[in-house]
Amino acid sequence: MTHTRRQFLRVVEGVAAAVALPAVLSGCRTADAPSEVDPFPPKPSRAGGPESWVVSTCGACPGGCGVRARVAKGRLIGMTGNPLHPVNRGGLCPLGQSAAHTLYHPDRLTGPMRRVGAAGSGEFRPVPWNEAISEVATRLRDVRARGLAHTVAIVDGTRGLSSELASRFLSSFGSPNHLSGRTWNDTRATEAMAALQGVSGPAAYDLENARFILAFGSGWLEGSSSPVGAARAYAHARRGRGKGARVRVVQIEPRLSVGAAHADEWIPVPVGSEGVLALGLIHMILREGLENREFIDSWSSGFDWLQSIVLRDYHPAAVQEATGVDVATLIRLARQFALSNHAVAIGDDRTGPGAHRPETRMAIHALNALVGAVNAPGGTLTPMPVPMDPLPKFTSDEIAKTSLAMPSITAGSPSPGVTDLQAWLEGSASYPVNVLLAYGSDPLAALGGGDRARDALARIPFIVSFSSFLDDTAQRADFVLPDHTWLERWQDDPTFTSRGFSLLGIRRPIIPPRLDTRHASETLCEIARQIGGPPKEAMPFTDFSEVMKLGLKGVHRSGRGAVFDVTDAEPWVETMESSGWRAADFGTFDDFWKSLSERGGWWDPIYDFGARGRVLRTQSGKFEFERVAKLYDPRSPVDPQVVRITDGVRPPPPSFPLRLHLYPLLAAFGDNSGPLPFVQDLLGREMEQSWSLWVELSPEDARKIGVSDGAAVHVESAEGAVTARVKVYPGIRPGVAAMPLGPGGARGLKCKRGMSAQAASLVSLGRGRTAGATTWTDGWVGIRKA
Amino acid sequence: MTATLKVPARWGMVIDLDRCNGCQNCSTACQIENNIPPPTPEGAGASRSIRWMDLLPYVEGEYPHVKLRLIPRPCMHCDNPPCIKVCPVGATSKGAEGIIAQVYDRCIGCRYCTTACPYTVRSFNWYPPRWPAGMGQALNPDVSVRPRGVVEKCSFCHHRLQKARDKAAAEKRELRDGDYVPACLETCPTKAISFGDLDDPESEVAQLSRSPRAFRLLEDLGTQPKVFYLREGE
Repeated sequence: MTHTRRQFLRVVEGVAAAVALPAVLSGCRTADAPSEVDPFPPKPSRAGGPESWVVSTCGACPGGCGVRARVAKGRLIGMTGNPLHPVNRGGLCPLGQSAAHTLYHPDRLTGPMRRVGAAGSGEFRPVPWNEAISEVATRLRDVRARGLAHTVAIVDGTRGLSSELASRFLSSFGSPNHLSGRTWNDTRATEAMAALQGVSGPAAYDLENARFILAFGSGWLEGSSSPVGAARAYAHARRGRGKGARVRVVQIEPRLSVGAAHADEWIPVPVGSEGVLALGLIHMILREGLENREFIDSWSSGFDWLQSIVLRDYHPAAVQEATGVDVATLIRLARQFALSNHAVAIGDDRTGPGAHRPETRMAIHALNALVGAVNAPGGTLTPMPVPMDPLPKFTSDEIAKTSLAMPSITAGSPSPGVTDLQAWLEGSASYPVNVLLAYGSDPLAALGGGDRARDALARIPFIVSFSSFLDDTAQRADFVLPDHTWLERWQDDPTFTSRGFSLLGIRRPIIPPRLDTRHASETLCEIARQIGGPPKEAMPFTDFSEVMKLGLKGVHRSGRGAVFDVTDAEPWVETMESSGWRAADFGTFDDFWKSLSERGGWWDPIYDFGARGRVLRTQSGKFEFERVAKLYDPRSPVDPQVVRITDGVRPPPPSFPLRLHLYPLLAAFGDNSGPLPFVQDLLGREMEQSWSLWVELSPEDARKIGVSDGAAVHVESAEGAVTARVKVYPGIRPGVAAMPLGPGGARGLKCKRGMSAQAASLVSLGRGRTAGATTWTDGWVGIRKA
Repeated sequence: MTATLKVPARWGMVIDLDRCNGCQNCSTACQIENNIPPPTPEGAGASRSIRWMDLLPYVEGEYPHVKLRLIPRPCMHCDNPPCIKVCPVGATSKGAEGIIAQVYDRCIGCRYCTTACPYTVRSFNWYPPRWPAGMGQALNPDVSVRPRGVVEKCSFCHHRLQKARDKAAAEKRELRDGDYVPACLETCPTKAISFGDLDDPESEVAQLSRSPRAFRLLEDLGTQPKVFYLREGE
């Protein structure tokens, strides 16, 4: 064995580093945790060694930003944004920035596991892949053979072809139960869009062209499904439009949030009264005759009904009493909104606890329609789809056909998801759920992680999780078949920009898989093949990048759009394409694929404002104001939690005098990647808090309770109790206790998670439905010193 | 943009508060770029988390007329820095191009400088640098890791200046505006941060620093910071 000088130096360098820094790498639980000393990586860039940049798409949250990863000697050593990507144009958020910590996280599962202890005990033992897959397949085959295929459900946190494969699996297997299980912020206005426009899927807000932004709730800047997209839109509104064209932002919510702090005006209103205020504004706009008659007459139905209710019940004095917003402000806001020519009203479009109730979102969206800001520049848009090719057809069998005809767990829900699953398990179930596959999702965390959600999930006899970490659901799973992290896998990531342009990001392995993990979609295909029959025929794929190529043939053939390019090229493509002068020439498919992988994806910078049939898909083909009217008509029986002015102010329940306001923290969402230390540390920085849960009280309420800043308190509601620290904050409406929705849950990890007591457990899913949607209960809390 | 930079340059930064939305990505990007050890709850509880670029919250007023201001704060790289005057061992000094350098090997950890700095940008390493098992593989090879007992602070990503110079030299050209960017600026989603030579009248920073919206923190102390802020509003 010979040694070169270089090898010798490397060894010396490693030893030197190890001696100088004996505990560079150690577990993060305690200082004396088993340490793993790793010499510093050599300096490849300075030494002129191999260093490369790999373009991919971030998978840390639903935003879908483009990234450029710095890789040296097979290690990921840096992350920046892809400057060509239209969503982020080079920017990133702390979650994406921490990507390397996700990849090298000590809590990642190193291979497939089978639970040996009780559910939730965290006792697992490693199991070979073939054994795990064959056991899961056997279980599924048995269920199918017994004619119970419909009792298998997939909670799906993916999108694009990964989601399509899940859906394909279920339809070949014979189950109608494909439930969305995305993180809380990943559903934008779905309820309002589904009810009023008949469109399934999220809305885009054209913030680039809006001249007045009326934001209700704190969703748009902090809880947006695309945090970087929202940040860019904000910066553009402020300084991107030239002198004298600075966009005005008004924020309406009970707490001076980060979004409200950046607005020109903050209007504090009681928790849950945003819908009443929206109707108050509709009243003023109608009284002043500022509504968009053209839209109302030609494109809407049921307006008269809404108008009669609003003009009768939502007069300024009553609205002032309900919301505390004085008449002068109401008139001023109504005029600004209606006369701004490109004003848009944004609700809190997250799902999950603390988000707006369906009737509130619908009232806010009705405000948009009133001024014609629906499918109009500067208003709400319905994103265009990506022209992907469908996957090849497969033949079904009798079992699949019979089972697919069974009613779905989510029947009638405007946004089918995990909340429907809990409601189903708790009561209305006409059949049990025998198998649950948590696919790119942590359903238990999405349900708030409270006892009721746990109990509901405990009724499912067999759970399989595909998580890379032992998250809440995985801890209760019978098998965990860990997926690669987003840094190690191929995936397509369809999303859209704020202007409604469709976009397809390409996610590619930045480094080869580090651990014994497998692409969840490939695992699902393998399970299907072992089941046999139609699933075997429907899921023949062994390599996900081949599935991507199948779908992308459609984009290649469409001749639409462009591969990501420099910013300057954008207006050019847009102008040429919209005037019919341009058809993209992508070369051969292989050329197209190559340039997609090099630049990060494809997009189509054009939005079709013409085709109203695409954006108004209700039965009447119109914007249905009657849906809002129905909820707010004092004669209609509704879920008692619906906030209507005619029902009067609801008194607090005894012993819970404060109204709970749950709000999103920037960068806390989509955190399905294990606790990332830098992200954990920055959460709550704006409130000078970190790592533990806090509750914000107005100085007045703090005085009444007799607590000061930093005091430990118990926050109790009818649903549960948590311990928190007091933050006395003047930016909060008296009578309100505000708590952040932090990443929580998952005990027993090596890395600590801040805020492990989740404020979300103070509320629970309501038993009733509003406009078909399962909603969360209102939070009322009492606070006592710990 | 293509103007050639004079040597020596006077490096400075402008942060537009009208663009910034307080997302703190600058803070995270900096921590990762500069191999700052991941914080722990214990350290955070004792206010010992290290952030070269921090987000400072200011709450003013009473309900309902409350303002919350969020100000990203790097080292000001003062032209008249109070920190270097108190260092007994010459561990901190102002370079030819105005960057305040910290020599970790010389620092004895007396923390006079952390007290002298009116902007509280200097952090003391209370703990040995530790990474959760495995995460250390992602360390940036361009930046050294500091041992316990020394003071550190924002360096304007000085290592990037060296790399930019090397690259320009390899391409046989002068350094240009935009060649040298700190990590905080590179991935700022709102493009709120600008960086460059304040002495070059053509550079973006020089122009922005002359904006009527521009101000500096604690200007009356005479520290002459080279970080400018642009206030919110038209």
